[in-house]
Amino acid sequence: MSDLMLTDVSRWYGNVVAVNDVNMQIGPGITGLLGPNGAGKSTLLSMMAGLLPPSSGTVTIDGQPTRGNVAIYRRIGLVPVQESLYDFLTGAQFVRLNADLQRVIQPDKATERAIGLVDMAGAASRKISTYSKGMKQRIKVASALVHDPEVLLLDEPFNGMDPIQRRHMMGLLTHFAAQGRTIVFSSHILEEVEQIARQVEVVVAGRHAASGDFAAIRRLMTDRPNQYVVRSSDDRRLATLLVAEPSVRGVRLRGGKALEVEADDFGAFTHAVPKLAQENGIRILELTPTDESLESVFSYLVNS
Amino acid sequence: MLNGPILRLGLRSLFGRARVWLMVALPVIMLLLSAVVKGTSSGGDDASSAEAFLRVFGVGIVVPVVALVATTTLINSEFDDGSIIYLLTKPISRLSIIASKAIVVFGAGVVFAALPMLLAGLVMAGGSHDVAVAALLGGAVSTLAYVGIFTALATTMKRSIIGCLLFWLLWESTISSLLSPVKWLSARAWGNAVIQHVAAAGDGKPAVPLTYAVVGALVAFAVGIALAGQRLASMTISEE
Repeated sequence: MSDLMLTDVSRWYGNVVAVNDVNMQIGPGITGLLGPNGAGKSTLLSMMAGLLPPSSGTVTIDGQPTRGNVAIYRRIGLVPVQESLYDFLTGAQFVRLNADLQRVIQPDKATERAIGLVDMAGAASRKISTYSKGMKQRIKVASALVHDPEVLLLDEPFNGMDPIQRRHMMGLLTHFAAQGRTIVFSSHILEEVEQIARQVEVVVAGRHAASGDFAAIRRLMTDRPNQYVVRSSDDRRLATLLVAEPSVRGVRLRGGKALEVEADDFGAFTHAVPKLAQENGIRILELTPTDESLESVFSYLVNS
Repeated sequence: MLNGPILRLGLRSLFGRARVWLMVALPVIMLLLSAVVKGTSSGGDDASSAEAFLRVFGVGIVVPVVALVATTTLINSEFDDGSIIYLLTKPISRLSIIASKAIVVFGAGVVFAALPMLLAGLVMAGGSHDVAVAALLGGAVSTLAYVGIFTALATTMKRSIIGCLLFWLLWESTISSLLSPVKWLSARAWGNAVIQHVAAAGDGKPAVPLTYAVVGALVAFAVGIALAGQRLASMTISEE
């Protein structure tokens, strides 16, 4: 049972702020780090894994810093996003290498067990250079599990996996979480996070935008009103049609050139607009969310 | 200090891939050339021409190229493609990671440069004047120094392969022949000096004392590893 704590963590590169004053307390179970690409998820994971020092703030596991403390790696398993492996080794040799580097007591057994967990026994004696993307991903996970870590960090673990592999991996992570391990994975896809994460941390533009269980995040995303600017071939008629929609809270004509629309049910609204337009022969020229706040980013997440 | 699994990984990486032929090629050329030199020499001073050949081709080319190929395979390319991350996320000191790699690189230098120099020496001069043994020792001392320097460059520079190449071509091959004091700080000059001290052949005077050359190479090796270890400890890896 390990707690991963981020306290006032910021990271900047020159003038660019990648992570801005993030506080998180991550306990046992699966935590999803959700955010669009470039939001700072990888930077956060690198800091959690001690590969990157925070510019300010601290990252600790049960009070021990993760940076400049190589002993901490007995407790951490990291699955990096990049694909480069020692691909002149076979899968089994690579996992065994990680077992040896971790000074696992029974490296043979541990290797076999880890390979079995990710369902790679059949391909373990092949060179990694012959693996598909999904197989590489699984052998990386095996290498991170071989020393039985308390904390497992995974950067975009489902990338490149087909649906069956994905389901298998999700089952594996859920199984590990049930053993009381602390698991953090990053993703830019809402559905992935929704399926397995107990806790969701949303990161947007380097900021910790929201935190909570999935239901809370979902509610935040869909129930809050969103602002849009709509330009169409017939704004006035579109306005009357939109007002009749239950998801629309208000419509305003802006100087006869565009509509300002406020809607509170993102899903229903985005379905309604094209449908209305098509049925009534109106051309939509522009539909832009004007709200740069959390909600518009959430809608991006829902979309992607 | 040294880490068994990293040593084994390094050996596999160097010797278990097609890349090994790159390191085999040069010593083979050197041996062929030495046979040609031996065959065409008209009974003159074999030992003296062998000594000169081993300094120019062995210490001048084979040693730095083998050290360069091995260093770039084990250090530069692992940094560039990010696979070093699997070593950095283990409970192993950074110094131990880099020292283990440097030892493997040095071993490659002995196998692919110093030992072939011994063989080339035997081909050309037989056992006379200790030329072959001198070549082995000179090759090893020069390799030691090169490995230290390349290791430090590989971990501290952005375009490290070009940096290592420039060091060899500019500093060791060009500047050192133009400016005499550079001999005090030259892996090539140290290797040559060892050959000249040990072999009782050739008429050139060694550029630096024997002890200085050996200690200098040891210091270059140790300092290079220490610098690289420090660099590794402060290194940051992020994927964005």
